[in-house]
Amino acid sequence: MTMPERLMNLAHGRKGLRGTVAKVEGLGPESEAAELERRLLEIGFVEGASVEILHEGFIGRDPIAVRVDDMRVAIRRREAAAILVRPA
Amino acid sequence: MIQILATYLIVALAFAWVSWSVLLPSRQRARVRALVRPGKRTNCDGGCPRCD
Amino acid sequence: MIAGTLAPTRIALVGNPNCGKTALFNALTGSRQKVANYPGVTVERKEGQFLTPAGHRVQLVDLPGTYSLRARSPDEVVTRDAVLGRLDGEAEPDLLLCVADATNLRLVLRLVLELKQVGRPIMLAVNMFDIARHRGIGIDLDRLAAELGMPVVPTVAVRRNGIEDLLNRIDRLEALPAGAEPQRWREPDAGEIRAAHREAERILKLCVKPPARPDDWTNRLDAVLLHPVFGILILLAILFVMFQAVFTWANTPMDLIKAGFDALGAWVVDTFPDGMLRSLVSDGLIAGVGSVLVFLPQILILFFFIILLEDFGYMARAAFLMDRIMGGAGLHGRAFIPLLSSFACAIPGIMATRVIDSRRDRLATILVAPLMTCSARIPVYTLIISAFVPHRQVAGFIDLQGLVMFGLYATGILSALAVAFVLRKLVWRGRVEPFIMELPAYKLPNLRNIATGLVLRARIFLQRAGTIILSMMILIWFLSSVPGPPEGAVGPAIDYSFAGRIGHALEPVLAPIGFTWEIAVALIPGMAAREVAVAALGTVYAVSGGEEATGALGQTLAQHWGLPTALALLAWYIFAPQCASTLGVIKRETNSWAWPSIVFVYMIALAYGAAFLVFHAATALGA
Repeated sequence: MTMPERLMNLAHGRKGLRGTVAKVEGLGPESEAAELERRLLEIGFVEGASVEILHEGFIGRDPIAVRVDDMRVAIRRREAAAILVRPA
Repeated sequence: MIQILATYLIVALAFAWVSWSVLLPSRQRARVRALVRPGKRTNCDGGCPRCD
Repeated sequence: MIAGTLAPTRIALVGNPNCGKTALFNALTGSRQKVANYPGVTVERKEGQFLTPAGHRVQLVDLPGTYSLRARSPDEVVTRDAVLGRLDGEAEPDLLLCVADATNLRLVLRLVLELKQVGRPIMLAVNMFDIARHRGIGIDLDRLAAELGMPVVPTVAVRRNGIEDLLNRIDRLEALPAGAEPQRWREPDAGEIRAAHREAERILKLCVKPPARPDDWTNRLDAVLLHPVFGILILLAILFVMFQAVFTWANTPMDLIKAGFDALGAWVVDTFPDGMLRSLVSDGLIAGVGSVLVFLPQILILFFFIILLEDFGYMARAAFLMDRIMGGAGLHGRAFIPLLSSFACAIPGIMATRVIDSRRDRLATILVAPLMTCSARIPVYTLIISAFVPHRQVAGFIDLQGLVMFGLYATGILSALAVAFVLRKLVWRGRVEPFIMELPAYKLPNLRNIATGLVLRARIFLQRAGTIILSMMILIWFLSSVPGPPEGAVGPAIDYSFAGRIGHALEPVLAPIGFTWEIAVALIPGMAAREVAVAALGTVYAVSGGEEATGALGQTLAQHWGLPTALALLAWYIFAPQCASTLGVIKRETNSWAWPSIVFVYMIALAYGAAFLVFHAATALGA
């Protein structure tokens, strides 16, 4: 018996959120979505990577600083919306 | 007289330089370079099989 | 390696940003570096030479850092094309030397896998090996070499460790004629990137033992430097110190340079026979180039801070902190550094926009960079403020002159943000470029690297001053002194020249904003560089002593102009595109005449409008 998966959008995460990347999926029009997906993958947001929100910006808590495996990445919440996280 | 000639020469050189480096589109510049030094490509000291 | 040929072996340095690639480049080539632009594009091409122990000549090219060959920014396009041998006039590299940060191998492994498809010989330098060892990261180099199928060499570039081993390995490489192995690279799709990640992950698990001691320093520093409140305060404090340094430390060397050029000019005047040539050399060449070279100390101090903060890893944090503020105006977080540089001079600022991925973001930054108050405006501001604004305390402790100066700076910044905002809202609507950026681990800056970087910056600036700026100065001298005054003329010589005629022709246009014909005439040579207008005003008003006699010139101006005219001229100088070099750089960077023309037109329009408003408001208020 498995629990239904509870996935969370990284864009809605608050400081301290930890988890693993469950899905990376581009947003918006098709060409833009594909491009965003590849960029996120290239910088390390790939399914299975462990992530943690380390810091938030001071206006609208945006952008966020995220630990991705052993590196840190700054990303706007707008782009972070393409990343679904399975909270730890 | 020589003074005036020299002055105009310097001004003409300056004008040529500005036209060459700023006014001329870089594609044309590359084309002119290729015309002046046929066979020899930029940044090559020669000796490579495909250049010479 | 390539025995029997005289041609140098060509090695290209590739790697992620912040992996210590430039430090390795410096360690290998020392000071034997040269910087040029790639033909047709305006990305800097950094190249150096060195000899291997076996006596092979090697030509090393430092390529811009990238995570992938799938290029987006002009920088990354150069990396891709150089690696693939697609660049005009450049052969394929004989060896790809990939540089990895030993503490952060995951992403570079994926890049290495991508580079392997290019079909050129490849070698991996695992840099910052000492830091990795210190943190207890165990890297099985032999295993890594076997898994990747390429030589792997540990290095500590900043201490020149491992360089010898690297050179010996280069000597032992077999030459691979171009085209011997097929070039299989093409843009990977998302699925292929995922597959490469899995492969990198597999190799990582096999060869790398995770750190025993995590990087606590970076976490602790980030807790303060990225703090929503303290982070911003610290950023402001750093900027404050930077500006203090730019404007106070630079004073002595600037005075020295100026005195040197003045002495040189005086020597020419004394030695050469009177005539056109003497005027060209002393007024055109020496005074003109001197007026630009005088900014070298400020530019170097500014770059000292920028390189220091960049090396330390802070610049990415600054972009993080500023992204939302700049984003509100439609600018990218990365535009922060170019705009900051523009406070010294718009030229290095505009060249620094190359780090911005998206063309629109880059253009928006280039368009507003000249609105930042560059230091060439300072002589003009100081002259007018000291002549027209009384030395008085406002609200008990603020100096009125200082307040006006601050207001001029603030107006420049706010109008840059406003212009960017309008561009975003009206011209380039819709699509917002993503902001995704690595925050590198903090590292102690290396003094030798900073010195190498500064020497490079100085060389680039001097090269510009010696070529483009020099020729522009000569042309502007020509406009301001030919034709010469007729026999028995009484007015200043510039009055009879082309510049004088243009000035007189412009007078009716400039009259509504309160400018006299003398100002109009001075604005023409002021196109060379803003502060040249000060000297030109001196010439027009026949104040002897030129720039040194600012006090005397100020008094003369105070007699000739009303306060509305002076204020209008200040407003004009906030916006006016009075710098031929900046327009030239924009032309080169955008490779089109459209953008410098747009900059010129919009800035002239703003300048005219602002001066008009200020002049009439001041007149109406009875000032």
